[in-house]
This record gives sequence, structure tokens and C-alpha cells, in this order.
Amino acid sequence: MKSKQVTCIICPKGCQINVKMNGNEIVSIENYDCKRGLEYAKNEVLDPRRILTTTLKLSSGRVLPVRTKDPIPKKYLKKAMFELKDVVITPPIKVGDVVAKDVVGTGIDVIATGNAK
Amino acid sequence: MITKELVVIGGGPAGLAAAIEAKKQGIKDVILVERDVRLGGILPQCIHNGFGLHVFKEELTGPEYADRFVKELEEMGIEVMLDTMVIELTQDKQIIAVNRDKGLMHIQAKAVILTMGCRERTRGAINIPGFRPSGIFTAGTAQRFVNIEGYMPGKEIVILGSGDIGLIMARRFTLEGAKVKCVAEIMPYSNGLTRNVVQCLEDYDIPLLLSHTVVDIHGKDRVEGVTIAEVDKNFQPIHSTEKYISCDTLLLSVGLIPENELSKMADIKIDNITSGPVVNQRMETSIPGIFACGNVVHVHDLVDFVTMESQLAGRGAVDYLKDKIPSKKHITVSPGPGIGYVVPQLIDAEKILDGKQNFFMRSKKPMEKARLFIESDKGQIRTRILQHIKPSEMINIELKKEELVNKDIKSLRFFLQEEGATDEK
Repeated sequence: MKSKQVTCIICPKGCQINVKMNGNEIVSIENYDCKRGLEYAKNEVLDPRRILTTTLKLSSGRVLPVRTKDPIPKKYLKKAMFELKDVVITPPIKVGDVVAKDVVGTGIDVIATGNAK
Repeated sequence: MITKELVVIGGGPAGLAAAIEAKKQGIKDVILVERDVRLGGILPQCIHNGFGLHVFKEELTGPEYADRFVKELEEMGIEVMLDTMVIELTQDKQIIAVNRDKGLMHIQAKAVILTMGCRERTRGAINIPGFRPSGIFTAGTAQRFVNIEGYMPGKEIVILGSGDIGLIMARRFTLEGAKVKCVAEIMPYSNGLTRNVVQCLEDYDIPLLLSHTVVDIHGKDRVEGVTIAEVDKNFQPIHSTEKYISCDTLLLSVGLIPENELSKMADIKIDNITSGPVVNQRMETSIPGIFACGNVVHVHDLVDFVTMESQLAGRGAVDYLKDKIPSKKHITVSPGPGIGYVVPQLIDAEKILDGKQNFFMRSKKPMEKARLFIESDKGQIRTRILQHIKPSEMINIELKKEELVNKDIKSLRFFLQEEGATDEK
């Protein structure tokens, strides 16, 4: 049996939630103060996800800010960075345009968060 | 001499929201003056998410948040002068601005909104001894290099200060392949939002060294390393704990200062604690017709609150332009024990907009649970229990107009009492 410590970020209290795991199954969750915290802790141990924000090269020089449209698994953040490393974008680009499809096979696209003329 | 009804100085989130609101409320002749070549202020370089949860009820990145306001500004046809620096402001609302195309310009405004924002504290402000090699950056400067220009300032990084920009840059550098060795924080608690400590440091196993500071910087041409040490209760370094960490870059995330050179030039009264102008219920400074909002007044932790405050300033300016009657009766607002500052510092209860008044304040130290007292010279107005208070997270309290008006109140004070602690009033 393994135990994992999760710092809750739902509210400023920052509960240190303790999750006991048996393989991939949750055995118990302790030290949470509310339902939202319980939900957060579950997701954090079973399938933690983050929105990746980074920049891509512009053919016109400088860089373009981008993000994944939805959160991607935390374990793929670095892989996604490598995949996006050599992507070069040609303007014009508007906020919301898809600049890379299906990052690390997650089915999630990368979109522009800035404009480039 | 150019004449304008309203001049907004600064095109960051505060200036954008104030100009848009003033135009919406019927002021036609608005101009926004910005020294950068683009609008948005600091937002275009804040490429991370977490903006807009209060204003748009969705999670946006900085550039996306700015884009919504820039689009609205353009659609409304508000005049903008980019790449233009305001170099002088007088009490009579005369402005001297300069740019490459037009040279010096004299502008006579009927009302002015100051939205110059803030700048970062530097190495000089915190007196770190040692050589002066290259490789020492404020966190915001490094952020601009990476996120706008596309340059990496270094490969092995130590960050001093756990403010939000420092934490955000720890993650950004790590994702871009640099090694962030640690974040040192002189206080016994982090100065950033919990969510940033978790998602920027814990996610990447970056150590956060609390009660630590940098006591020496090594290297002659380029930073080669820093010496860090633990500090005692009085923030004095304990020499026996000194440790050398090799690195080529030191980032400073050690606070922000409102940028008020223009305000001071116009003899606007400055609050010693916030370092920003003293403002009233409609964000008007000590000079009638000159307003201020956003980080130039006090440093905010969320841009959403900057937007709300700036919309109020925009409406305030419109009110002023419609009836030039200045506020007369003022309630003075001050921080009591446990509270660092309160904004606004003056209230004309008769003129409160929409029947309610917001007060922004910060606690002096973290508290698990405390009671906030709102007290006037005529007696207690209200108390409220607050939980999980941190200096880094602004407290936002709304009072109703009825609670303040027609009571001949002269002063108002906010103070915190830790629950279970002894009376320190």
C-alpha cells in the first residue's frame, strides 16, 4: 500500500489531503475538509491534468503564445514540449486558431492565445 | 494644444477597462496613451492560465484576457496613441506627451485617469552584496525575454522571492529545459497563491526554501553561483547555515512598486503604505478630475479586481465630467491592527455608486481564522469571520450605502482579531 500527499488548491486553506492507494485503486482519503477537495484529491491521484501554456516560433521572428485547448495528462507535459519544440507558425494568426493538432496523441489541440500579423 | 474630454494614461488592463467604461457611459472624446508599441500592459507576457475567473467566469491566459478588451476598445472606436510617453502632468490637467512622429504634444484634458501600473523591485531595493555580473534579472524581465522575445536568459536558475511571477517563471524555465535549483523565500510562508506553489513548484519537484535568502552573488562577468542562508526571526542571515549553489542566473521576484512619478509631479497625495495615490469612493485622487486605478493605486493579485476597480474609475470620471461638483464630506478610512492597508482611503457616502462600496485590504500576516471588525467613530458597523487569511490574497469587503450614509460618520477603521488570540486592539 502506498500513500500520497495532495495539496488541495480549491481554496486558500490548502488542505494536505492524504490518499492511500493499493496499485491504481484508492483505499482511503483522509484530511479533506469539503466535497470539492475530495473530488480534487481523487483526480490528482488517478488522472492529474494541466493546461499546458507555452510559446511557438513565428516565421516572422519572435514567438507566439499558445495553450492546449483542454487540460492534458500531467505526465505528458514534457513530451508535449518536445513535440512542439520545432513547430514554426506562419502569420497571420488570431486568438483561438488551432496551431497544432492532437498533441501527444491525446486528441487535444493546441490553440493560439495571441495574435500575429 | 490638443483638447480632450478624457485622457487615460497607460494601456494595460486598468487603462483598457477605464477607457471602455467611460465611453460606454457616454463620453465621446476619450484618448488612451500607451508607451509600449502594443496594448495590454503586462498581460501579453503572462502566457499562463488563471485569468478571468471572476470577470468572464472562465479560465483564460493573459494574452487572451487582454485581447477581449483590446477588441472591445477597437470596436468602440476609442482613439489610441501607442509608442507615446507622457512626460508631464500638471494639477490643471495639462499633459505633455512625446513620440517619434509628432514630437512634443500638449494636451489639455477635462479629466484624467492614471493607469501607469507598477514596476518590479530590483537588486538595489534589497541590497544583495557581491559582484555585479550579468545574469541577474527581475522575474518579469526574464518573463518578457522568454515569452515575447523568445530568448532564454540562462540554464541553471536560482529564484529569490516566492511571489507569483517568480513561481510562474520557475515552471516556465523548467518546461523550456532549464534547471531551476530552488526558490528561496525570506518569509516563513510563501508570498504566492497556493495554486502556484503546487502547480509551478511541487509538480516539478522544485524545492521551496522558506526563511532563506541570498547573501552573496559570485562571478565576475557572468553569475557563477549564489550563497544562500537561513534567516532568524529578525530576517538576519544565520552564517553557520550558508550554502553555495552554482547557477548562471538569479531571478528576483521581490515585490512591486506602483509607478507614480506623474502623480507626484501633479502634487497628488500619495498613501505611504500603498505607495499609490489616496483615492475616494469613485477612485478620484486628491485632485478633482484626476482619477487612478489598478496597480498604480495598490498592487493587486488578480487582474479581475483591476478590471472591476477600473470600471469604477471610468464611471467616476463620467460623473465628474457631468456635474463638476467635487466631493465635500469625506469619511476617512484607515487600517487598524492586523490590516496592512485599505483602499479607498476616503468615502463621500452620498456619492457612492450603485448603493454599494467595495473595500480592498490586505492582512499583515497569515491567520487561520480571524474576525474582521468594521468600526466607525459612531460605533461598530459590522464584523465578519474570515478563514485562511494570507497577505498575498487580497480581502474584498462590500458595504451597503445605507450603512454609511446619513450617520454623520467621520472615520472608518478595519481591523482583524485572530480567533482565540488575546485582544490586541
